Parts: sequence; C-alpha cells; structure tokens
Amino acid sequence: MAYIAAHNILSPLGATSAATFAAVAAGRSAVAEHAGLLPSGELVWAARLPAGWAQALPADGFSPFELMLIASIQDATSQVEVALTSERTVFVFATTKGNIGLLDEAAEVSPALRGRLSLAASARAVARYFGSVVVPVVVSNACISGVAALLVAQRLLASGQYDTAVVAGADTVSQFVLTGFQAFQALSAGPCKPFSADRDGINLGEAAATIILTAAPPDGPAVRLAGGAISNDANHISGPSRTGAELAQAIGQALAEAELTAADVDFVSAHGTATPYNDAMEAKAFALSGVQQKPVHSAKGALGHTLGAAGLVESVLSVLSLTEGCLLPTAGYSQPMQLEALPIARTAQPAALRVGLKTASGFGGCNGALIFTRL
Amino acid sequence: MTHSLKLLRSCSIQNGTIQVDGTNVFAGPPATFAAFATAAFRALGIEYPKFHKMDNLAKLGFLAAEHLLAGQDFRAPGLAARTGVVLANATSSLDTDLRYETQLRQRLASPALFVYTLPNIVVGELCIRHGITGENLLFMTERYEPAAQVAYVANLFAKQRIDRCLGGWIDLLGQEYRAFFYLVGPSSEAALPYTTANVETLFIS
Amino acid sequence: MQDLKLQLKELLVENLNLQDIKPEEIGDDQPIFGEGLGLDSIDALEIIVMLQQHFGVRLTKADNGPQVLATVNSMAEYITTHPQPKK
Repeated sequence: MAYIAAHNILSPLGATSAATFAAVAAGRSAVAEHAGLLPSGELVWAARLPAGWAQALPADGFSPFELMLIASIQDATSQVEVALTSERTVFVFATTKGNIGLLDEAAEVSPALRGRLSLAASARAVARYFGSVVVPVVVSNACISGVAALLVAQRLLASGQYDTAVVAGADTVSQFVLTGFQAFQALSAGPCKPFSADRDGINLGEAAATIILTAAPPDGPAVRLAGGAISNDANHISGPSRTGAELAQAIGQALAEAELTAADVDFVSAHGTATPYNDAMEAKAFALSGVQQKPVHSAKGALGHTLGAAGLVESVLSVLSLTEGCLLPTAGYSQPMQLEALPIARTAQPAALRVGLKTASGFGGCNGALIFTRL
Repeated sequence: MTHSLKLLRSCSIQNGTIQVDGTNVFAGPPATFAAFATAAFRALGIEYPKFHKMDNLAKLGFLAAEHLLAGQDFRAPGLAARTGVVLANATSSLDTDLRYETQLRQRLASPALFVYTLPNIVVGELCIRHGITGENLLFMTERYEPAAQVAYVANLFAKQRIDRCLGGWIDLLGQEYRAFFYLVGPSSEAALPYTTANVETLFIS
Repeated sequence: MQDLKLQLKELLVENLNLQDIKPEEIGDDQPIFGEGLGLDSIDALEIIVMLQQHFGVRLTKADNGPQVLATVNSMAEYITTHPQPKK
C-alpha cells in the first residue's frame, strides 16, 4: 500500500496532469502525420512534443529525454513537500530506451556517446539534479516499465527502506524505435484504433510522467496504490499470449493484494495498443479476470504508445479519473471487436469511481497490473 | 515461512568458462563470445534451435540459466507462477542496439534484431525456456549492487509472492561479458544463507 | 528459376540463423513455418525484409503474406510475378 502524493504528465497535450487529462477527456488526440521521421521519407502517424517545448528549461548538457524527466519531476515535486535530498527518498525510473534518440543523428558511436546511452547514467544525472543522495532504481521492462516502476516503488516503501519514492518515466519518439516497429509491420496506417474491429497497429508517442508515492498517508483524501503484480506469458518474445491467462494471473494477484474482487473494479485503463494481437489478448484476459463488463479505455489513441512512460502516464490518468469522477473516452475507437467486444466510451462520462485497474503488456512476454483506490 | 532463504545454486560465465557452484563445467577455446556460446550450447546437447536466433545477451542468459536450472521443473502446477526472475544489468541491449543501427543504416531495419533491442528480452527467453510465469524484472545499475537485489528479493519472499527466485547479474557488450545467476529459495538442507555478503562472495569468486 | 530458388534457400539459412540446416536440404515445396523449419512470426517479418532487400519486392498487408511465404516455390513465384518497380 502506498499513497499518491503528487503527479505530473508532460505530454503533447499538456505540461501538467490536469491539462493532459482535460484534453484526453475532451476526446483530443496528439497523434498527427509526420514527415521526416523515417529515413525512407515515408509519412508516419505519431504523437510528438511540440518543437521548442524545453526552451524554458536549463539545458546544462541534458538530453531531450533527460529534460522530459526533469520537467515532469519538477512539476510533481512543486506540488508537495518532498525531502529530495534525504536518504529516505528514492528515485525510481522507468524507460525502455533512454537516450537512444542520440543515436539517430550520430555520425559515429564514440565512447562518450556510448556512455550517454546508459540508462543508469541518465537516471543518476537526473536524480542528482534534484539533489538525491540515493542510487536511483531504474526499471527497464519494455512497455510495462512504468507499471513495474510503480510496483517496485510500492514494494520499496513497504519494506521500510524509504518513506518517499519519486517514480518517473519517459521515452522519446526516435528513428531507432520507429524503424523497428515499422519492420514489425506494427505501425498503424493512420491514427490508431484501440479495441476496434479494424485496428491495424500502433502510433508511437513521447511523454514523461511522475508519481510521488509515500508510505504515510497525506493530509486529506488520497488515492492509494493498493496492489500490483507482474507476470510473464512464457510463450513468445514479441507475440502476446493467445489466451491472456498470464495477464489475468497478474490482475488476480493485484486484486488479491488490494483485498478486492473483480466486481469492485469501476474501470480499466488498458494497454490497448491497437495491434490486432494485443487488444485481442487483453480482452481475453479481462474476460478471464471477470472485468470484461467494466468500462475500459485506452489512452494510446490520444497520446500514442509512450513505451516506458506509458504505464506511468496512464496511471496518472487513472488517478485523475478517480479523483475527478470521470471515465475517459478512447480516441480513435471505431467499431467494436467481433469477439469479446468491450464497453468503450466515445465521450467522457461522469461517474463515482473508487477502484481503477491499470494493465500493461510488453515485449519479452511481460504483463503488469495495478489497482488504484480512492478512499 | 518455516525455512529461511538459502542460496541453492549458482552459475557464473566469464572469460570463456562456465562454473556451477564454483566448479568449472565448461571451458571454451579462446574465441569470440559468439564462438564460445555456440560451443557451450552444443556441449549442452539439447534441442533448441531458437538459441541461434537469440542475440548475444540472450544467449549468455540462456546458457547460464540452463546450467543453473538443470533438473528443475517449473512446469509443476503452481510453481511456474511462484517463481521469480530478478536480474540486474548495466549496458542494457547496447550490443544489439549498435548492430541494429548499423544494419538500419547499411540496409533495412531487421525485425529479428529489433526485438532484442530491449534488455528484458533475455528474461523473456528464460521464462519461455523454463516455463516461468511469475514476477520478472530487470533493473539497470551501473555496477552490480547485491545489497539492493537481496533486499528486494527477500522482500518478495516475505510478502509470499514467490517460492523460488532466479537472481543475479548479466551484462554483455562486444567481447566483455559476465553472467552471474543464483537460485534462491527456502531450504532446511542447503548451507548458504541468502545474504548480501554471501552473494558478493559468490559473485567475485 | 532454379537459381532463384537456391538463392532463396541460401538466404533463408543465412538470415534466419538456421544453423543445423543446409540450403539444399530445404524442399521447394516444403512448408517452412510451423513444423517445417520451425519458423515463427519474427522469421516471417525477417523474410519480408529479406525479399525487399534482395529482390526489391515489398509485401504489404494487402498481399496474402502467409500464402506467399509458405514455401520456397511460392516465394519464387511471387518474385517473378512482381518485378522490381522502375526507379
């Protein structure tokens, strides 16, 4: 059990959680057509931060990826008193590829560039920027990294080692990653369509998010990270499980830790990447877990797939859903899937919400599930 | 729990040798990692053609886990979901990242390489091979920090999330490679308690 | 056509790391997925890139991928009926 003391989302839809949430609730999408992102010159649909977004930040030799983390953490830590320099405060980072964007433009790979590609080194630099004296924890578990980082932070707090965890994640849209997903034929031909019958792939996105977790409850009402679990399909390194059983296993364990049942869940913030396989697998997992009738939404149509940041960005959106009493729509949703159709909203719905389930799955067969509750 | 946590077995791979519980079980000819890995794989005498498709980091992890888990069956009901994998690594998938980038610039993006440009894929390969579906995590640290890992894993046991865990360190970049895996679980017979000091001792030996 | 088929077999062995198989052991009509050569979805994607790189043909989702890639014969057929687009 850990408490959410503050949070931030830095996205193309806004530099704060509130701004991004409002935009997503209004059905807006940051996904747009871009030229010049792929070496072939082909157009691609992706969600990018606006040019010059980091202008006001101190550069100090930080990379765009590191600046995203800094800006996000800065905003979150401005909302509450956090003993950033205390030994009882740990930074936990989530990212899949860190500074990989630096490779796109590099003429050659110097030892200095290799050093900059180190995820742990980026984490150290960012934590140090905020005066942290504790070696930061870095979780890199493909697309469940954000969810995994929150779970790791919750565990670290529960172990008594720390009182506060600053959990931050980010990933950039890079040629490196775009070309890879293109080679996987995983990119959508247009804006992606999560959980839709005619879904055809993902849009990549870039964003950063931060959640500050505390072991002690804050003053006033708070949202709790009440439970979580991670599992592995043990099936294929890039294709998801055909049955969804292992994601269902994680969902079940998360609920058990939160001392709740499927019936208690008020909404599901799904991974919903809009690939044919992922969305089908998730629908199966939801059915196995007994949450298939609960309102489901995917943020991937609004913000794209933000990889290592996704689990954190979408957890913040889930927290806000709970505190704002608002079920989010799924941008890009078109027609229900033929099998295991899920209740997907096209517009925001007010509702009294107390329990949210966040799911994620990633390359390497990993799955993650988190339960957020509003007291 | 009735029995305290013990280090049940360890496997170390470096400099062309494989050791299990401190004993050499395989020594390859002085050669590239790729040649060493192929020779070590053939010495296992197993049928697993997917091995040859793996990148070097995944091959390293596969070999270490194969020796570590020899004789263990995680497909027994319940055990698969109660087995954890908690590993640490420094250079991520940089070795493959650079190969991917080179191929991308010279020819076309390779999906077979791209899938390995995530450091946790090695964990995925181990889970597939050994049928492990429990908690699996990869931590990025600049050097191996046994204290943090031991604390984290011990906490998983204390919270009764797992009955067994594969822990350790794995890193590979070019011809520099090191795998240090251990199996930890409750045991009344095994001798070595699961402590930071014991893990460190095994790691540096 | 025979040269093309042998070339395809050599490329398959090389690109897909089929260590224990010799090109000439692959039958022209042998199904290469599933039981055949034990290929999976990533191999299929890799073959698509291989065909693009060596023969200039681009399989899109509109083409019947599984059918085109099923055997060396079907791949050779596709290549010869889809000549490289003029640049």
